[in-house]
Amino acid sequence: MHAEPAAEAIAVTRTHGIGRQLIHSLEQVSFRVEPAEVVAVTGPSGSGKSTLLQLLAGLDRPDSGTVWVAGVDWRTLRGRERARFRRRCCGFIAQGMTALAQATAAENVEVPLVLDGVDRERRQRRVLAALEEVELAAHAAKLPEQLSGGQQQRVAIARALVIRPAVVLADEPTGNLDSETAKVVVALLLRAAREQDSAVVLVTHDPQVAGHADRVVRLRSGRLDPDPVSHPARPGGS
Amino acid sequence: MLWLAAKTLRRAPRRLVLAAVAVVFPVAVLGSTLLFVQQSVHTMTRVALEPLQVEMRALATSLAADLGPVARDLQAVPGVRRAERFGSADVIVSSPDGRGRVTARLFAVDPSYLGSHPWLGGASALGGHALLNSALRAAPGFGSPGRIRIDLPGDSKPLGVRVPVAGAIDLRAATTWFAIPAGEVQGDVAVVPRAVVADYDVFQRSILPALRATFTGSTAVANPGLTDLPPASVELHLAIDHGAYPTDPGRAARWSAALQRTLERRAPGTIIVADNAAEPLDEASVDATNAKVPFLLLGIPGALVAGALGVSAAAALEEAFGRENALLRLRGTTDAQLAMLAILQGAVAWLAGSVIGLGVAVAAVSLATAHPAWWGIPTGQLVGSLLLAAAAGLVTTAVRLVPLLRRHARTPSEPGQRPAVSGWVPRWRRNRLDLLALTVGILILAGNILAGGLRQTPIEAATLALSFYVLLAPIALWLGVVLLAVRGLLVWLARRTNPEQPRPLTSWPATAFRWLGRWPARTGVAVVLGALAVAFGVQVATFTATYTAAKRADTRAAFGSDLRFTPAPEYHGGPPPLGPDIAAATPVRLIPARAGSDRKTIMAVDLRTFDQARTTPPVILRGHGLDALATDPAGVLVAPEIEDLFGLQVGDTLPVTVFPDDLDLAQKLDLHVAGVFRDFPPTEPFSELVMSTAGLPPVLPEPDYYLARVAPHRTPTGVARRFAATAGPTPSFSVVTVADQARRTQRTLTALNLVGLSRIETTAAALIAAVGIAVLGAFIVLERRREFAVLRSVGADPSHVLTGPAIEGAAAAVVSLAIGIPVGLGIGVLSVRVLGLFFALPPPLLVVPVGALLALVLLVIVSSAVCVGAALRAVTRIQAGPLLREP
Repeated sequence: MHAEPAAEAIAVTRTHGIGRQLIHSLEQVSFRVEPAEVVAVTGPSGSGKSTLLQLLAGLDRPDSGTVWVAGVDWRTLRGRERARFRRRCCGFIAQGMTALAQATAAENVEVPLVLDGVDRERRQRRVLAALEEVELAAHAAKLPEQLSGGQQQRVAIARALVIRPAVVLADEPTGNLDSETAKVVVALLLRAAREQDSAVVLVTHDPQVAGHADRVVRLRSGRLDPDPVSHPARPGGS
Repeated sequence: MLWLAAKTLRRAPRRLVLAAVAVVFPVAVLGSTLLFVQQSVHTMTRVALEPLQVEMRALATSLAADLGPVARDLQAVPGVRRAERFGSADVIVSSPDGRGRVTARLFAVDPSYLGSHPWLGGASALGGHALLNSALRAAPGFGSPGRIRIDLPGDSKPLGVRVPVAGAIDLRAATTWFAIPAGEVQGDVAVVPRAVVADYDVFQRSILPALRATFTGSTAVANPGLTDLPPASVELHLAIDHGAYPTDPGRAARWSAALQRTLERRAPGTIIVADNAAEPLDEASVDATNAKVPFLLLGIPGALVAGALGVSAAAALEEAFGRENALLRLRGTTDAQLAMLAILQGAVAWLAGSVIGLGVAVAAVSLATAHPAWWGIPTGQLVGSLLLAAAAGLVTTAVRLVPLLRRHARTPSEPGQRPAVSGWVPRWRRNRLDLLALTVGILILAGNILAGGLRQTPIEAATLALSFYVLLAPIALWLGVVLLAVRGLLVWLARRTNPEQPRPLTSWPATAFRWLGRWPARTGVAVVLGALAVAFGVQVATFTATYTAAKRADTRAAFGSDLRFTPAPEYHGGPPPLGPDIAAATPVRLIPARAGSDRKTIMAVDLRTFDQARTTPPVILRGHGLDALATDPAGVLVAPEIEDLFGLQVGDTLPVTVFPDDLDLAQKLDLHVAGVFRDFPPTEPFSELVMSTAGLPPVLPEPDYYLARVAPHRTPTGVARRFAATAGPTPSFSVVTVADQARRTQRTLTALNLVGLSRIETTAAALIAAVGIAVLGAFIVLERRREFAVLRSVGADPSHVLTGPAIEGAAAAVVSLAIGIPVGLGIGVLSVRVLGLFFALPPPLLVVPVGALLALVLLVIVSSAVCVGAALRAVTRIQAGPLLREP
């Protein structure tokens, strides 16, 4: 008997209109992520990586096919339920700098918990733990403009992980960072995710970042590459 | 380049709309203010000319002059409607039975004259006959004479002209006939009690030859030292077409003076033309200048805040322009071409905005004044006003474009980035504009107070001169206080939300409020604009209400009571009967007097009944009031100008001659100055002296009118209407209410329609406040889309996403009102003091028009809610997915 997947897309198709032209961003893509598994999604620009991630996060809806997270079909959720499910089960890290500029690092991390009505004491504990996890506890009271790019990205990671999600969905989390910082940020992300048994879906162009994943899948023109991707050697792993 | 400009405008029509809106507001506000000023000024000529009985008098310099051909010649001058013959002389009138023989003033006019001058009351047909006034008919022997005999006074050979009497004529309103036509006291009215009106043909045939024989050489009108009615004169009364006068009173006065010279040149040496319109037109001209003062005071802040709104609204375009310019630069467009493109786009927006703004201004003024906004305004001035309003839009466009052009060389801003995250220190805060404006306002006020400028002179409010710089004080304080309040609010917010003093979040709305405190720039701009606009609207509404209330109080003081009963010429039956409608009545007599060489009027009141019948108490500056007149019948209360003119003090003696033009009644009196009054209602017509009838000679003329106070729970209008309905065909009295009197005696300055302007300005203020919030909404939608997308990605539902923008919009509206209302009330109080010129009586501190202010608040709230609602709707439509893909 198989364990319930952390996230799963079944025969998902998504088209976008650009002018009068229809672009198949994803076509009949099926994809499964096991609990605590780290999967890297690679592929050229426009191959549908971000679309796949947003479908998994319930931020977009497929034209056909189904998307499941933690055993729940996104189609069964509407409005507030959908938002509540997302903030409880999906940690999303968008491209670029996504820290809320008017909020301190701690407040940024606290946002999903406030939205979820978690009581103040538990919030404080979890925020502190999340910031310690990403080594930012000393910067809790700083605004994003007072933090470096890498620190800002760590804030975003802490915010995604503070809810202890079933799956962390990270879209190019190191896109704006230099390679050294990127390495540190990815390491922190994966370490923290593993510590709380969260699965991670990592969209990236960077083979080095992809190298941290348990599995790599490649998208090409909206379809999963049928050729198996050779498992990259995990830096420092077995 | 034109093609590129057209293409970019076609591609982004909403951007053109926003840029045009930035122009519409300043153009509309300034345009409507200027049009309103023009309209008000241009109605002043009409108001000034309305009370004139005869616009010009062509006075023959010799009784030998034949005015027939002159009349025909003058009538041919453009603008002259009629030239009517008029003669007057002092005569002796005898009754046929020889029992009556009195001095009188003879007036001679053609029968048609009576028809064209309705102020000649109760006149019957004149042809070949004579009409007697009530004083002459009251003289012994003249009760109902079939004919009278007219002789000339002095030792001349008895003339013995016999004229049949056709009836009576009421000359009480015929002030022109009794006005001294020339000389140093031109226009002063000599009250000759007895008068007879004769057909001019009779006068010319039977009396004028004798007068010519008696008064050879030049007539008295040629004497510049003339202080009495000339013993005899012949003249032409010229009716000038009011439509021929330019609508601007200053130009009308110049036109009238030119016409006067033209008329004199038509018969050089034969006539002197006295211009009766000159004085009211000059006064209206001064009033027109003074009238611009409140309009500017009420209009300038509106134009300023509308301009600021325009610049703020246009700032929302910066990001879009930055992106487009970056793209064009990548495609090889040079900086000069980009600048030209921006200028072309700005020109199109200015043109479109100006056309719409001017249309709005014209529509608003037309609605407020109930006739076309351009009505009566000369084309040149109309075009000038419209161009000036359009120039305000041009300035707004230029202020918007200059920084944009400067930024061409810079990298376009990061999409979704907002200005200065931690704290907001805009240029006005850095340059301490609030403190600067406050200092300027306080210094101006202090200087003015020390110079006595804000104290009303007790003589005549209209003599106050207002310097333009004094008007800057309320404007500077308006700006300074609002900005200072916003500065204080920002400092408080910054302290409350300081990230260096971390506190855990409490609720989501509290979180949104905390973040607003850290990022107050856009909301701060909306609050500054909103508070300035609300304060401006409140100031306009309260000033207008105070002005209206003071005008009403002035009118009541001028009137003196609820009703005036003017007895019919032949009525000698005492006051109107008291009863269920009338609680008290008192006779008022206006006694002609001469003090020194000056003609003055004494108001003689009946002390037994005066206090019960008046509704407005006298204002005594020095000495005593009516109580002193009760103990000293020779006591007199004097106006400040009499005190100044004769250097009097309370207790001094003032010798006067009462009835100086009536040889039978003339009497010298030594009056004791008991007090000096500022206002002694009734003040219309104005009397320089007030005394008790007990101090006057026992034989007094009939009262000029009775003041009456209506019984409790009765309205003056209702009582007047009932009285008129039951009076019958020959009523003993004519009844006048306050409103009737106000219509008859309004001065150009008191006829200003501030209410219309107030409605326009307060509506504009509410809309400016709301559009300021709409601009905030536009910024929210344009700048913070990615923030909302991020919130969605971390699990915020739509209500969570909308909480922040809703709080910001609500805070902007509430804080605008919270700052704007008290500031507006304060500036309203100050404006009333600064514009004391417009109040004859000391105005109240401030009249707060609760209804108008509630309407303003409601309009701000409703229109802001609509704007915030539109912004929130736009926020809900934001698609998180594409935005989260942006790097």
